[in-house]
Amino acid sequence: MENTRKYMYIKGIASLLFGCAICLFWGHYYPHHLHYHEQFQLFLFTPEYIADKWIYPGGIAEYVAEFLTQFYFFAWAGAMILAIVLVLIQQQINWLAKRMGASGFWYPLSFLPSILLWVFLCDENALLALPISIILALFALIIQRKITNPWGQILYTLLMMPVLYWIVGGAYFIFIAGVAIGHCVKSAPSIPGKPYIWIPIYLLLGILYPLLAQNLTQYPLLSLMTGIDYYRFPMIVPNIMLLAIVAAAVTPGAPALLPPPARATKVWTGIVSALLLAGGGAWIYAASDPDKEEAMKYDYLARMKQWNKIIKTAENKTPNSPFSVTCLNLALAKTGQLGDRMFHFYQNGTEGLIPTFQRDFTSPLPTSEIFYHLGMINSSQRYMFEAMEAIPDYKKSGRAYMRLAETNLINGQYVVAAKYLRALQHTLFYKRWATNAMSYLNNEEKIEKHPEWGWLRKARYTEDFLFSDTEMDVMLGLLLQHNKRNRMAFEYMLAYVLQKKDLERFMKYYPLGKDLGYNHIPISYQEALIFVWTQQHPNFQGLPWSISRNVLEGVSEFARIYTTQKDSEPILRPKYEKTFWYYLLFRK
Amino acid sequence: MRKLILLYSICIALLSACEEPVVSPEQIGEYPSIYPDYTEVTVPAAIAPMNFSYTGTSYERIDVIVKGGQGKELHINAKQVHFPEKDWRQLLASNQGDSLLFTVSVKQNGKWRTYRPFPMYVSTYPIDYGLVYRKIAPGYEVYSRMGIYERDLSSYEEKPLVENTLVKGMCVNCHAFNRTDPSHFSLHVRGTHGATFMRTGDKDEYLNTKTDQTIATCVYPYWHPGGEYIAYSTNNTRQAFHTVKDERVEVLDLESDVVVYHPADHRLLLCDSLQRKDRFETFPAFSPDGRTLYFCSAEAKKIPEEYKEIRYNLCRIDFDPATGTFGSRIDTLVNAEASGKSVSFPRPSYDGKYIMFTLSDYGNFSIWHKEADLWLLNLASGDLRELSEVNSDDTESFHNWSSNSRWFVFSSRRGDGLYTRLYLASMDENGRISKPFLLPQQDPETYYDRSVYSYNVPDFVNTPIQLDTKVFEKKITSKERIQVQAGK
Repeated sequence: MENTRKYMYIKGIASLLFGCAICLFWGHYYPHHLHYHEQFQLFLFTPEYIADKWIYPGGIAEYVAEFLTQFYFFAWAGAMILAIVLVLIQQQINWLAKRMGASGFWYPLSFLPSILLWVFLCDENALLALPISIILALFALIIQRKITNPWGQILYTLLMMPVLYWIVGGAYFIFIAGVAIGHCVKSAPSIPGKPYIWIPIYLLLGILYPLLAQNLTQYPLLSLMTGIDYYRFPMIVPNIMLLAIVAAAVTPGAPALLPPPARATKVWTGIVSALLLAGGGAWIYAASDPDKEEAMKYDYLARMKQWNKIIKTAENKTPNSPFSVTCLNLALAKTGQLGDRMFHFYQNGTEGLIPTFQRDFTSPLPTSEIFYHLGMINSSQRYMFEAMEAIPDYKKSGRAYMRLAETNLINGQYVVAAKYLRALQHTLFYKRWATNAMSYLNNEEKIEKHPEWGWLRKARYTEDFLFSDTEMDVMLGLLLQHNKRNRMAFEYMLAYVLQKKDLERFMKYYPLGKDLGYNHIPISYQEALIFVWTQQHPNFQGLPWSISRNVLEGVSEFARIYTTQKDSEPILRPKYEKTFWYYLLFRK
Repeated sequence: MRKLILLYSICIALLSACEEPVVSPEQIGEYPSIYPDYTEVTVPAAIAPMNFSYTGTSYERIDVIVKGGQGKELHINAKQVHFPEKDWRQLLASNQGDSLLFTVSVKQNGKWRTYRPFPMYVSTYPIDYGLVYRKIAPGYEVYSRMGIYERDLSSYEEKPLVENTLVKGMCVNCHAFNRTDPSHFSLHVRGTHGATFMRTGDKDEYLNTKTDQTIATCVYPYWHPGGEYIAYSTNNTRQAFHTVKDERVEVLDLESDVVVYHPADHRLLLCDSLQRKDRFETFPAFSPDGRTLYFCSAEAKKIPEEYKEIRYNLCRIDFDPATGTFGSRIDTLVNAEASGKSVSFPRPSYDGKYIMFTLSDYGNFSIWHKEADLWLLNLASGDLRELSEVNSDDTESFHNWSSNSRWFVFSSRRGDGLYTRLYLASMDENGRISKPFLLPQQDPETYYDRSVYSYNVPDFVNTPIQLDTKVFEKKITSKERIQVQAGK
């Protein structure tokens, strides 16, 4: 009796620790993956939204998953949700295994499906709909196991199969497998005669329902069999996803068919637990991607306009992916440091400044942010709209709706802005913002006074031409020409030509900044100016710009080493890596 | 039985108790503000109930009485105006050729106000079974969920014919039926599994319409009335994007030609006059007698530098269906270029009297032009007029005629400036055009507000379309295509 209670405590503590580990992982190590997910859906509390989910298999589980995913807006809330979900699955598996007569020895195996799901969820395109579908399928199985009348059990199974298929989609095979295995274990209540004759019937019906669903929906059979919305990309079924489904299907029943070791049970339990812990931990570690997490962090901070946090993050570890560098450069520009500090960080050319358009749902996001803050309102709107339309599972985006509402407000297109705002009013976390934004509709004076929208309205183009992604410096020049106080446009224009190593255009554009209120020439401009000067003059006499002593000394030393040393790059790198000269001569 | 009658009586009494009779209303001398604006519109007798919302200030209850010269009146006293389908249908059927009078009373702050009753005219002209259109978000280059849908005009039922969820990366567009008859059906599919789906009677084929003698795959289809030919244009297209608030997308043709496809022998008929290098030819449409091919033609200009200088005229060329040959002369029916305008989407009425087209300031992709309006050419008199009865300050663009040429459907951005909606209007034998009405929905205000789609390329169909999506998916995802051959 005491031993049983002790084991119960140990099991409870193990589940609790498991939950804490999940929570810590997502809340502390992987929080921006949660923010990333949240922005690619727009959960609406409207009858139409739920009605849309009712019309295809798995839509209801997807609805529940999307409801929970909206809480990812706050990473710790998302982490808690994931902890609860995965622990719940472990508990369900454990309950079912016990019910099917598995030995307590196999208890550690109850963690296996949750561990596999954890690995699956490390993929940024893995959706919560799969774990939710598994919970619902296991719940249906639990009810089945609770029915003691054998014929009642069969009747329930036959009725539940189509219903469950419609609720969870492909994960209903977990239920079928559980029922089938249940017929093979001794402890299950069974009809007299040969209960296993029902197994092929269940399997045939299991295959039949997705086939029938083909007539009711416009999805390919593969999606109808494996789940429509478990993974963000339709028709892609990652192995780990299939493995998690198989594990959730087999783990409840299989231990009942396996006898525990006859001797040294505790040792074997320890070995199994250690294997799960080490293997699972290693797998999760291998599945997680800190580089992606970093990129998502930059994007999140740019979205939230936390410019100083972006710069601080970069100071701790210089980003090197174009996606992250784009956000960093935006933060530098927003804090007036782009001209001074751009080359203090790794730069990967104009793709890290204003990336060219790609038809995907992530890369246009930071570019849309840049265009927005510059005052290129139509382009910001276009990039955000395109990013939203490119979401592979056809969802809309709360983040995109906000930006579309903002850009339409700035452009004075109030009717369509109101449409987006009314939709956002049906959300949990955008509602307050949307309600406040509604007060700006048709209120020119209020928009003019808005610290951001008022300025952007003045900054945006008012003369029409066709936007050219390939002549970005010209586009920025026209923006500056339209509003000569747009210092950010000037800095992006100069940064663009510097990063293109186009010094001729730099010299052409540089004078345009004379009335922009600089108290000193930004360092990267000084470096470019002095470089140009040294190409045409033997010394600094007659230098028309106010160049700092450090830069003058630096360029002299840099030039000396560069011209005298055959392989000067390793010598120059430690001291001059953060200069325009190094970028110009050594970065490819 | 007695118990049933008692129960029924109780239910009726309870329901009656829910009604709030209009008591001592203040009379307002103007029409109520309603969405959609269905005041004074002309509708076909078979149309679905024209539900609407009161769009004035907030209200507690609305009372609507609909009376016709014949039949039982309809009375709604509720929070929402939802007419019962059966009663609606009966009332309209009884009042064909006459009008209905809608008396709207609204309860606000405990007081009733009754507005000036507005009429709705019930046309004697029948309308086709339904509409087919594409629904897609009004985006730029990327598309999310989209598809071709069929809508029964006598109800709110809409069913997807093909959605892009069926095949990964698929984009469906350019659908066309022969004078509303879906037994002749062309549908263009883009993406890695691109094809032109071609139905001619009982035969379905999946074509590759790109040949080495043509610019690209065939788009903008229009059937020959005999069903033996279908005209297309082939376009080398680029997209560009504007910088100011009222402009968004520009679709530019770098080159374009008009061709005619002969399904019986999988042959594209080419004609030098329709493949000129110095001109852009597009948007073909056959005349109802099948002996003329209308199309739009513009002088080729440098793109993008001179994109605002490209202006299309409405032209015609003879076509002999017996031999599949073209005439030698091209006539200009509407010289829009001379007046600084540009023609797109010419659609001859099936009775042969008119050509309706879209007129914009330049270019051919008028669906993104705010100034785009519908115009009508009277083929008998040559008179040309703007359809001011149906145009708005915003974009009016794609349009099509019903099979009896008494109705037309068109898309317009007048609702919110971005999302196109469908409007229907009628034209009588004398060319009089009625006020257009927005395609009815069960709850139109909520429906259109929450819809994330624009309606593209609307066309009438006279019967529901049968398309087995399983077969369609299988064929589209296979590599089997019939390669069409081009020849002069």
